[in-house]
Amino acid sequence: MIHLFFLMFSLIAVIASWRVVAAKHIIHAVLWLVVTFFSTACLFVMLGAEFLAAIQILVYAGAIIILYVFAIMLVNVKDLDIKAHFHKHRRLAKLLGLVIFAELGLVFLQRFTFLQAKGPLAVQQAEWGGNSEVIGRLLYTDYILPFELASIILLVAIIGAVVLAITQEKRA
Amino acid sequence: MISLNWYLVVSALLFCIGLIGVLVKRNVIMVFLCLELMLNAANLSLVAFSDYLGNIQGQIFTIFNITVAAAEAVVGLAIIISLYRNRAMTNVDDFNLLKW
Amino acid sequence: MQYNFVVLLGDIKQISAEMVIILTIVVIMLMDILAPRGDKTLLAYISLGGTLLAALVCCTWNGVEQSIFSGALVVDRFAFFFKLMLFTITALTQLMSINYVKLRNINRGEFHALVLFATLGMLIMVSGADLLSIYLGLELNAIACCVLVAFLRQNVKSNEAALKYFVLSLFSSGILLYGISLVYGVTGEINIYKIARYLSGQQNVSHPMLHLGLVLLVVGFGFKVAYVPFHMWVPDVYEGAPISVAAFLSLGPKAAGFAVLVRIVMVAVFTLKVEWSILFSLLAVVTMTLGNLTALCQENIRRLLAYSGIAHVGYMLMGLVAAANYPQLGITSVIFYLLCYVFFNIGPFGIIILLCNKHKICEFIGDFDGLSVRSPLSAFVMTIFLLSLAGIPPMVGFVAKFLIFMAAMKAELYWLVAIGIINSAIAMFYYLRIVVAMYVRAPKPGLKINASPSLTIALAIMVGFTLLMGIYPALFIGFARYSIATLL
Repeated sequence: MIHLFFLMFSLIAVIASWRVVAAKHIIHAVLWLVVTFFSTACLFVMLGAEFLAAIQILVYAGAIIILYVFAIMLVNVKDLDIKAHFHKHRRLAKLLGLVIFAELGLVFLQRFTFLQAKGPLAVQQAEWGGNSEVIGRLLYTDYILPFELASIILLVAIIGAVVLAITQEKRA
Repeated sequence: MISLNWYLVVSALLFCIGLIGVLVKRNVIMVFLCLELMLNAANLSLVAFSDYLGNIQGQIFTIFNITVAAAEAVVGLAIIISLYRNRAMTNVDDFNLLKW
Repeated sequence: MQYNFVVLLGDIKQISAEMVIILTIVVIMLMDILAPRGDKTLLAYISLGGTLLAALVCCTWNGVEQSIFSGALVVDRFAFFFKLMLFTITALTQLMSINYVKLRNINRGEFHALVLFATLGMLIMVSGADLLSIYLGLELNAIACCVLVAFLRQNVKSNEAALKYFVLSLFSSGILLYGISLVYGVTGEINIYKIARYLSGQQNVSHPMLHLGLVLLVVGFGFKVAYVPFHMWVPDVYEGAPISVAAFLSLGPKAAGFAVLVRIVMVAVFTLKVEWSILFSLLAVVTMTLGNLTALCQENIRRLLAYSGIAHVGYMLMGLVAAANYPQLGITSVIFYLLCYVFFNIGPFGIIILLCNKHKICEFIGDFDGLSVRSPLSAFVMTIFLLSLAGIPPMVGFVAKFLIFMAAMKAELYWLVAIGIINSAIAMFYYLRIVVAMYVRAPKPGLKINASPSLTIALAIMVGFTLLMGIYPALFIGFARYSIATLL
């Protein structure tokens, strides 16, 4: 059963991501991207990362994609029809992608004898009540500095976006 | 139980599709979408390793990735809009003021 | 370890310099709102003051090395060295910006705040001890820099440069993340010191996945440090960005990127030194040669400086290769090179700012014709910077290059040294071309010096240090050696 689910979600993810690249219209590409993110979220659930799956859907599929849709609406969609605008070297690029994939695949299909056995995560989760609890606890203790840094990054993004996108002030 | 290898293969596939897209696409917003695919692939492999190792660090890393991706999308789209105001186009090929 | 409030306060005390920067940003943003119509020059001075205060606070460090925030950051001599360097870069940028932003009509509070944000990101990078905080510092820096590059909003060139910078930096961070995930998968850790401990305890470390992860990491940082073939953004960004931002970018991210690279290759994956030294030696050759050859045919001084900067990265990589066998010597030469590079590489940008006015930016070599007649002093100063960049004997550039070549000789990388020397000879040509233009050709009409006190101070500091380091390099080499003593 679990194999079936894995097969299904990973196939959907891969096909949808291919559709993102191959889409003729940008809105279609964005919608296919949502499908990719959604099936990746399902894979996250299978990997025991429920909290991340929720974040993936809320932030990625919810917020970021909506942002893209807004940006596409703000610029002229006609300019964005990309049918004729593939790169000249697309064959080369595809070849490069295939080579890298072959390399990654060769490495990934080896046996992982060097890895440690299962760590304390399952125990920790059982003790603290679940995946979200463990992440929450760690974010506010061991990872407090990255957490604050992330907030500063968001602040910079807000300031930057306002600086760049605000309409020109009127000159007296 | 699905072995780690297969998750990694899926993530490698997503990564390479994103990579091809970045190299092939000429529309800036499309390039951004393909970059999101690459980040997503990295997230998938981090979470897969996290599960396999029984170690929460990979999941924590992924949360920050998603946050940073959001911030980056905001700034990137702001640049596009700013550019669009000056010159109404978004195709990479049209940027010829600055040569490679 | 139980993490409680007392520990947290102790950790915060250790990053008080960073806290000063954050507080300055807050003050700038608040004052920007409270005085909406006023002159923003005051904000520039506040940001400069904040940087200097942070540098002072940083100097009060008591020399105790420890890791803080559960290993997210580390306070050590190496980080201290780079922090002082970054504060210098930032302060020089701010001094050069004060008048320039008024000239280009971008004198806004956000500009000064963003420079500080970018600095904050780099400070985190140089003291980051786990890949997560390094990654976040890098992104903070990248986002802030990106907005700074695009700051000339009505200028299409500036927008395009920002877009190119942004796409490539996002691309590189995607690759970097994938690399990080592979390293994490092999070692089960994201902390540099724990990775090192794990790898040194392993019998057989050469798993292909680790190699792949290492290559991806090197590629990812390659965009920041700007070596070939990940250098495409550099010339365009230097040309399109506001000049003081270009000066900032030509050093800040490079220095921080090198600090991270050194920490990763010397600490985390030192066991793989055979692999990465081959990788870096190839990159060094390609970077030097391509950078210098492309610089030869540039007419625009900003693009020329960009390509010459790429070539300099090639020399630094040579020192990194040497560090595989002689860590002490190799890393000392690299970070000494970076330290000198701060002064004589920002310098020419200062001169370009000196020559620009409201209507025209003098950025072509032809614009420098006969500068020695118009303004002997600025021509002389420019000559000092250019001779240092070329590495001609009495100048500090020579000492720095000599150290690198010596380290490489000791590591028996004769072929690399030979290529390096040929490259220095090529580089001599294009630097001297500007000198010839300034001293030999007849002056053009309309060349005007637009000096302001702050810019003069910045130039004076840079010339002073360039000369001082040339005359008495031992002091600075000693500092460099001191700062890496505990890293290796």
